[in-house]
Amino acid sequence: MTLSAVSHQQKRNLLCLLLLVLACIGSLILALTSGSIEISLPDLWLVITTDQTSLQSTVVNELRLPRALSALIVGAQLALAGCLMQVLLRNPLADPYVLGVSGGAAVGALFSIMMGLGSFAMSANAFIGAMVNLLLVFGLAHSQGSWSPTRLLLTGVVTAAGWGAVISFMLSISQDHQLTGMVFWLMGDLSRAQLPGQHSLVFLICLLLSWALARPLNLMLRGEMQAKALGVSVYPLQIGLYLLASLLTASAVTQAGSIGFLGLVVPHILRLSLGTDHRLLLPASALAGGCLLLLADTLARTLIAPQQLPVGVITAFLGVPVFLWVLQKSNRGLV
Amino acid sequence: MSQSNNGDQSGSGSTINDSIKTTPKVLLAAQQLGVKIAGKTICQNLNLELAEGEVWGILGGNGAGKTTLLHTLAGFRESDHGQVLIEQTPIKQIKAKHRAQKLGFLLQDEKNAFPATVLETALQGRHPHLGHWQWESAEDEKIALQALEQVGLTDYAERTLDRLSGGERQRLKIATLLVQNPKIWLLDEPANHLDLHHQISLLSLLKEQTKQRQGCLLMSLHDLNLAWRFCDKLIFLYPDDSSLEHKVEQGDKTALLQAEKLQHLYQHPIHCLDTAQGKVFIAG
Repeated sequence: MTLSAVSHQQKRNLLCLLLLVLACIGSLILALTSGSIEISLPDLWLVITTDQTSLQSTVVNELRLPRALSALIVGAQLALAGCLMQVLLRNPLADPYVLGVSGGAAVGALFSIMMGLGSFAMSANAFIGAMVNLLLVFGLAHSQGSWSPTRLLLTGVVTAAGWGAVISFMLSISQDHQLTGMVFWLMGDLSRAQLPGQHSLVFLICLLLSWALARPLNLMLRGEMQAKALGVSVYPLQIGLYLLASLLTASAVTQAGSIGFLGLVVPHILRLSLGTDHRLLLPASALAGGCLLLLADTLARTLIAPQQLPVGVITAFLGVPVFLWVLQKSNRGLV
Repeated sequence: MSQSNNGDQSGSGSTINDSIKTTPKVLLAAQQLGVKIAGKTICQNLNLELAEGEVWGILGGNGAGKTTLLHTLAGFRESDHGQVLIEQTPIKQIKAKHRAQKLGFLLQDEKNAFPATVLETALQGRHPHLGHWQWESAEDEKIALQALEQVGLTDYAERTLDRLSGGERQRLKIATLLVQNPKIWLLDEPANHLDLHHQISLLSLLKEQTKQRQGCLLMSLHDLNLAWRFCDKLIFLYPDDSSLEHKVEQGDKTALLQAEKLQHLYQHPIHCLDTAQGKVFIAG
């Protein structure tokens, strides 16, 4: 035990974040170069630096770049939201969808598909569905004037089950030619992705706000009373966490449907390997989540090209072995 | 006030200083405090003054309201009526973080969703003293390591919490409190889970810190012998069906720790023996 454990840890944190940033850049380059039209690194450099119009620049600028950036943002949002939910509910099984945000969004999106509306209306309806869920769960869990993680969790899980029933109902009455689109949406799909302008803004604001709450979040892990005793205003913090996590999830779901697994597993992998300090965990989760989803999406569209796989399938294929491996190797305890 | 008089060379400054020293400052006070939980009255119109250097104990049977009263005094829950003051300021008007700089609380139970290490946990005691974006410094770490040494957990600094025993966790909570370094210490059953040696050594340490830092300490206890040994003053929370007129009684320990009062307090016969080692209490 040396006296410099804290500064040693800070150096390690910076190194971790730097490595994750590099991993993100690496996956971005991989995503832009691979696909049905192979683009070499020098060509990619030319496409980015010069203003020419060629097939390659169209592929990169109009197809691959929007999709790759969306994958980065969506993955980062889901992992960050998962991390926040796990603290808010003090439950290791919590993921971004546990409180029904994706269910509300799915009902909105499927409704748009059934009505034959365009992709803009679909995004808008998905977002509206997510917001309806946010208010519904908040109102119901809060109606007694007090709030406990268990109460919130139960309200959310039951509401999610309600949305699930509505989704099944919609699937069973919809026509065959709409079903494929619906199922793809439900499994998570980045093929409709556009440049994530306003969504990246949502992400950046939420990341900064939650990062500012990182040290109180560390205290929340030891229970609300302990956090209170050490000077945290618990109730406003809980509401803030709930809103941030829900907003991030809503934004992610609106872009890419409900991509499972990522929000549950990425924070855990990082907790098991890096510890529980949220000042590191939050940005690390976002970077790792973005990186993982981008890799998964690149695989999803190249593995059995020209056919595309739902990206959710690949995140699970990648995430399950990594998670189990980390769990086996980790000497940190869980609960 | 003494500050402004320091520059003044006349004798009046020193007399004011002397008068401040002779009446110890009240750090935590309750005025006309009424506390209820689930329709049950814990106390009504309780007036309490905890002054610098004082060690107080709360005694009472299970469910008498020791924890509820402590939580109310710490500002964790609303009182039914009346108010709690920290150095003359109503506790409701003090921000949570500022309150935590002055008042530390040892909770009875603790949950850990994702266990941190022992050193990280002790360092959390610095939270109320750090700025929003500030990281713990080497100085903070020194404070935390010193506290771990005081409770005998130095060798466990890198361990995660799930690998500690109940007593070790209790000692870690005390270490976190030492790191927090408040003036007002409220402890909910600090002797829980501790073996005999640690009960005596840690309560001695806490009492010593209280006296040294001119703070005050209030703890709930079940062990009458510990109460006799460590407390100056006591609060008794009598059960509802007690034949006594007042539900709450406070005073010097010598006045309260009497067989007759204790019999009422616990609804159980208790004998006080005077031995060569001092007073000893035995349940009949």
